[in-house]
Amino acid sequence: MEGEIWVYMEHDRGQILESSLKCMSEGRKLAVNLGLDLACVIINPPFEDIGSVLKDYGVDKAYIIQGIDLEGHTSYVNSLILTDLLRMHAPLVVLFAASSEGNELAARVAAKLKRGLIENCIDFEIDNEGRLLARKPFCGGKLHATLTWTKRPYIATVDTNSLTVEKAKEVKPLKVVTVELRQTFEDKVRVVDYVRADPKKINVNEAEIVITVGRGLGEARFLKMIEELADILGATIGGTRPTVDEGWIPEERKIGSSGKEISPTLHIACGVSGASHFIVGVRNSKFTIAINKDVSAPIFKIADLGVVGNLHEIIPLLIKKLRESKLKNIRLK
Amino acid sequence: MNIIVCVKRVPHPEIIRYDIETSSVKDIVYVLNPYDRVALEEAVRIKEMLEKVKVTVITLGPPEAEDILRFCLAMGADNAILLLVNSYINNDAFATSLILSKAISLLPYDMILCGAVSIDDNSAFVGPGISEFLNLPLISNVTKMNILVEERKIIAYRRVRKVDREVVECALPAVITVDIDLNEPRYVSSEKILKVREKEITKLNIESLNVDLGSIEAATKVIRYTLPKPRLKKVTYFEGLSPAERLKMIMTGGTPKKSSRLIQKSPQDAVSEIIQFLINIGVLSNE
Repeated sequence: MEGEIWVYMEHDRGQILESSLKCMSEGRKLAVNLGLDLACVIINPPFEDIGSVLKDYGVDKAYIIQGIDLEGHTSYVNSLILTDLLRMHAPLVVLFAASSEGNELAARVAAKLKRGLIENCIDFEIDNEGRLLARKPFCGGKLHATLTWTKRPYIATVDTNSLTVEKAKEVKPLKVVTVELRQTFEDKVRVVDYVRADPKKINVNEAEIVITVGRGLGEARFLKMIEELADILGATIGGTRPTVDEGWIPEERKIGSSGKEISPTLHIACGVSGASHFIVGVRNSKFTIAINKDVSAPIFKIADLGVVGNLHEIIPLLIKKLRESKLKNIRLK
Repeated sequence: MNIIVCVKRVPHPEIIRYDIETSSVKDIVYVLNPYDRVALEEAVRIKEMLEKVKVTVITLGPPEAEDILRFCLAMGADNAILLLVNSYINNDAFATSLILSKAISLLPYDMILCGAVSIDDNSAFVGPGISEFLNLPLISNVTKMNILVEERKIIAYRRVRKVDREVVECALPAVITVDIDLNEPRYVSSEKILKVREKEITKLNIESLNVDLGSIEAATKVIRYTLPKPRLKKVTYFEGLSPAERLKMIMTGGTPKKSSRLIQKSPQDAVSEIIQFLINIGVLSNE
């Protein structure tokens, strides 16, 4: 197979999203397997020195598109730009992180090019006939489906939830292709505002910070202090199966194999022992703090910071200290 | 106002199973895709709120797909259209969107509602696909919406990146894909379903849509279905777990290895450590 492997880089508030970097790791694996070049596409990069940002990821080529005013636009404009670029350079594979934005952009581009899209892929392989195959969960993960495309470019979105960012062993020379666009685009949908959803009301699997409680909390009345801590941190509360059975935590906030699987930036487990069916639901958290009085609790195995102690002493003190300090969660307005 | 809701039947995810002996998918019981149900609920609520609203549901499938259309009629849809596909067309999301677009283009519409995702193949293609093929604006993953009838405009909140919401506005007609949180769909009693059993469902062969069938070609194809095989992670074995639990852990891919730090200190010191950790990972800041 010939052509390049492209990875679309999403960025927000001056940074490349971690999901895009994970997608890049997957793209690199594919590029190495096929012996092809890995390229990334960035529209309006929020930084000057592309080389230093990308040096750890084994990228051969970067397509930089700049000069467009994207203010108030939706992914429609990005899809026009990307479609043109794909027509011009005809890569073999185009990968996007399977975020809602990534899925939408990929779908728009695929429709414009009249090509197929395979979403939420978890693995790629080359079969005996030399076809590129993609595997994805089917029916909520009860089955896996393996698919292929009929025409190139092969467009896919990659489920990055269970991936990690892997850095390349060697630094490659980076070839930068810059495209200056000076035209304006007309977008029929206008973005008029950005808001943040209330952490108390959103789904636990959508939250950036999640505090989970286990039976170690003791009684329902102690939820008050957990709520207070959640308020300060802008966290969303979830619970283990026993806490849901007890009626402390509503069913839709149950976490684990019989509930939701979360992948927040930070997970704080309070009084959770860490049964395997719970761990299944939280193992993709980026950082984990566990507070438990039992030093042998399995939850400590997946925690970045494990605190052995009484949560009824630690949490009120933590709340007090956070209130006294000027420390804030910068993402909270 | 004419609202079109695109619906799909999906296998019930709790019932479907994979039969190892025959290497085939078994126990398929079809239900209305939950996201499409939310889309239809929204359309019916608009109909109940405003005057002169007509809700049409449309699906693509074999004759048996009529069942979910009856369910939609019971929920409050006025019309139902079944696009009958011949078995020789392997309709993936791409071909489906193309056929739906052709059919919709023959109907009057002000708004096309779709579920953001279909829960069987986890695909979010149809909404964006229809918007491209019909050259209509698209608002995806809507969590809240408001229609301004006089101005023929919609204002919507859409989910972008976890907790971020974008507020967008757009003139109608438009394609809207709905998030599962948009509303809580109503309960449909069996009496309601019985009441609509005589109601007519428009059945169209896709040949009658005046489309070049040769141009409708699936852009992806399924090679096989298999039992799930999780992506392997660096497995951490849990000594405290029973063999059954350990096995379950391994079979679902294990967990990434962590360089955990365990502290046993006084509450004061423990709290200082936690705060320092929160600063280090960038959750808390002095700014």
